[in-house]
Amino acid sequence: MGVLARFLCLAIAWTLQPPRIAQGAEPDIQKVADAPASAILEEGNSAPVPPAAAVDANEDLDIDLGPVSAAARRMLDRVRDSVVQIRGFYGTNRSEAFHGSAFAIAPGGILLTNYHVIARAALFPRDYRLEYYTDDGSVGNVKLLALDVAHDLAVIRAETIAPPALQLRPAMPPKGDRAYAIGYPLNLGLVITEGIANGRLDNEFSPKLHYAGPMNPGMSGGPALDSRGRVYGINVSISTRGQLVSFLVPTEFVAPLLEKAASPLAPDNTRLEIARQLWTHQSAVLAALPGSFPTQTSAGYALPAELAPFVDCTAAAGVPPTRSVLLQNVSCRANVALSVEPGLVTGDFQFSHQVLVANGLSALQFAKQLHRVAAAAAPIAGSAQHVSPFTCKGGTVNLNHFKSEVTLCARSYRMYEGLYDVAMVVTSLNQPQQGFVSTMTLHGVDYAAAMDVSRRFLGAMRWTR
Amino acid sequence: MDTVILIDVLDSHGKIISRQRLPLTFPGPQLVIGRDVACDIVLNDPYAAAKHAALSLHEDGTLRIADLHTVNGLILQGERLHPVQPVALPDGFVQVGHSHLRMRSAAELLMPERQDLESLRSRHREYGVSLAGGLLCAGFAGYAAWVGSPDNKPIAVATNLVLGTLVLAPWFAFWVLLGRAVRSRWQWSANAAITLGAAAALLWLKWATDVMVFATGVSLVAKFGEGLAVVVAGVTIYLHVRTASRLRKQRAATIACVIPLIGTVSYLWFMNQRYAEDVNHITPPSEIFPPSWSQQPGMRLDKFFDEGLDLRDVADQQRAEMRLRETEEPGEPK
Repeated sequence: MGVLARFLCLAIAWTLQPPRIAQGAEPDIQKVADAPASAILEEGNSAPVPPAAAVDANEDLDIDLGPVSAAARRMLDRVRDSVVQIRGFYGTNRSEAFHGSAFAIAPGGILLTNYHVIARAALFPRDYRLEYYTDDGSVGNVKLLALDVAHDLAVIRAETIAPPALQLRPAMPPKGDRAYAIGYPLNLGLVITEGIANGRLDNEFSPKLHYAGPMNPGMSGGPALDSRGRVYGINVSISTRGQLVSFLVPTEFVAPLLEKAASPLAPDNTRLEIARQLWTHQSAVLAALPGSFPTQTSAGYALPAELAPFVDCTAAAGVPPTRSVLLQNVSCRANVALSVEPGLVTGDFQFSHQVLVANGLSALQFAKQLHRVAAAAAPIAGSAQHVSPFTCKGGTVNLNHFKSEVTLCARSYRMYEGLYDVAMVVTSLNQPQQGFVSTMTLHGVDYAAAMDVSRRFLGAMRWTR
Repeated sequence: MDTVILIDVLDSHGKIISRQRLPLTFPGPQLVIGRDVACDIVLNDPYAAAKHAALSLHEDGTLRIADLHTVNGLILQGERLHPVQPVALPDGFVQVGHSHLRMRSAAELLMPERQDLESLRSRHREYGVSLAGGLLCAGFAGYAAWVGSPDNKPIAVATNLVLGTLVLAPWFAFWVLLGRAVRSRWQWSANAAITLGAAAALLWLKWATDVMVFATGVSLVAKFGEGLAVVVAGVTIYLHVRTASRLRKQRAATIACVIPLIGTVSYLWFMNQRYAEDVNHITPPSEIFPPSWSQQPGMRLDKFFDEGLDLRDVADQQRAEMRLRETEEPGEPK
């Protein structure tokens, strides 16, 4: 469901690439400048006005465009004072580093936004500062009270205003209901978009709602409203694989976060709190995996696949290193990654199997191709800013009815003690004409838990013939 | 008593700079060696005195040399002396200043003519080694193409051969040119034998090491293979140096030890630097061969993971080291 694309987008947004997602905190001025001015104005600040020619063309049709725009206009007027823009500044600069949206959730200037909107200010409080900007032009400082990395939420407080709090809708609107998303996209001012509530996504570890409507970078943290103006979700991301496929964080996580906000987080404790939340997240993810991993069989090898509903797997013919080899590629990814800070997406796991069958090769030639695939298996990426180098151990291991070469590697997180990346490469060594290369990587996990999962992963592999 | 002596003045590499044939009588005048143009043997050497040494004939027909009260004296058999009274020249060699002199009198007994079989035999051996080395290298190129590129073997063979030539040709040319410059001899066959023999040895040694590592699963075998490769490199350099220069065995051996040592240390340092900051580098898997070639029993899964627990400590240690460097280098990630 476009989840891969969304995580890709998260990473792109962190690195100030062209905004392709709603939660992108940075504006892409070049992109805006490239767009026709009229299109920007129509999208951002005023109701759609069909061109004259179009009106003429539709004269005979029974289409009433009026009420839709009128409803959106009324909705925007109703919540205008409650939605603010959040801007982040590096050092003493007056040029912004990033921006997003937030809305009043409780009296006293308590605002709700996405964690990723304020992440840099939360992680580097001495370098970044936050300010709010209201639609009527008032400006003030913002303080972080609480954050929820796992659900991408944060509670902040505007120091000099107390906008009217929006009401939360306790239940999700039924599919097909009219809905609205509000925010400050691309620094174009307060914008409302009209769409359709499409219910909860299936098979997600962390619940998300599907909003079928436009959303753009800078709207992250803004409210998604039902037809009565109640908040039923918080804008968070879009899919780049489709059109008007946007996602919301459901409101069920807001109340616990507000309770935590009663005891504001000290800036110096932010990393510790994030490390604690990451640890809790990985613990929950790994605990959700079955004790015995399900497998599927390919070329005589039973290999782990579809471990849990939130693990997406694809299987297809791969590109073999030579025409004389048939290659099948099974790739699985758990949609549980968390964007912690720019360049650091963690908390998830993925694995793949490349199954090779010789087609007219000798055993020596096939072994070479198997080695080539194993040597090209690059299971993981990371930055020296966040993790230490890998340390590895390899050996020949007897699995169920076959021998394999296993390389196990681990590295630690520099800023989040107790969390590790664990990578494993497995190459079968039992058949002269068929074999497989599997990789598995676990990001941001407890070491003992990672060893347990890795052991179960290998334990599930079996030669069936 | 009259005699004739032959005096060769040599440079530091043993190359003849000048050769003179002079009469000497006993009793009679001495031959004076020095920078002065009035000397019998004139040296163009700033470390020699104007009149440095006197060469005379002893009554027993042997040559004698005396120092003429110079600062640097004479060097006889590696020892610096100031002999005011004439002393014998045990091996016919003396160093005056930086000049080496080799002297031979007519009274000296000559060895009978040596039959030149070695030269021809040596040449035949060089051709044989060159041919064998070339065939082994070409064989490896063919094997690598057959194993690695089963779809396109002819092009892969040609590519391997061209790449191999591009690597070996500069090496071969360097030693040939050095030999031509230092010894005035091209020595094509000797250098070809050394280069091709060494290349073949290194290629097949690597292959044999990979096979042994796969068969036994003992990682020490790989280290042993790498050590052996360094030894082969050392022997290769030794043979090249001895062929292309006039350096003596000891010096050539020193060079042959030092260069591979420096190369190995530099390589290890470079790899260490490269991977110290590459946080995504994973130890590449060892070469794979047909399953029937493997003789290792394989370990139990539990044992493998028990041993894997050590990785956490190493990872933590690396983390601590990075944090330490971070505090020492202001401006690093906060």
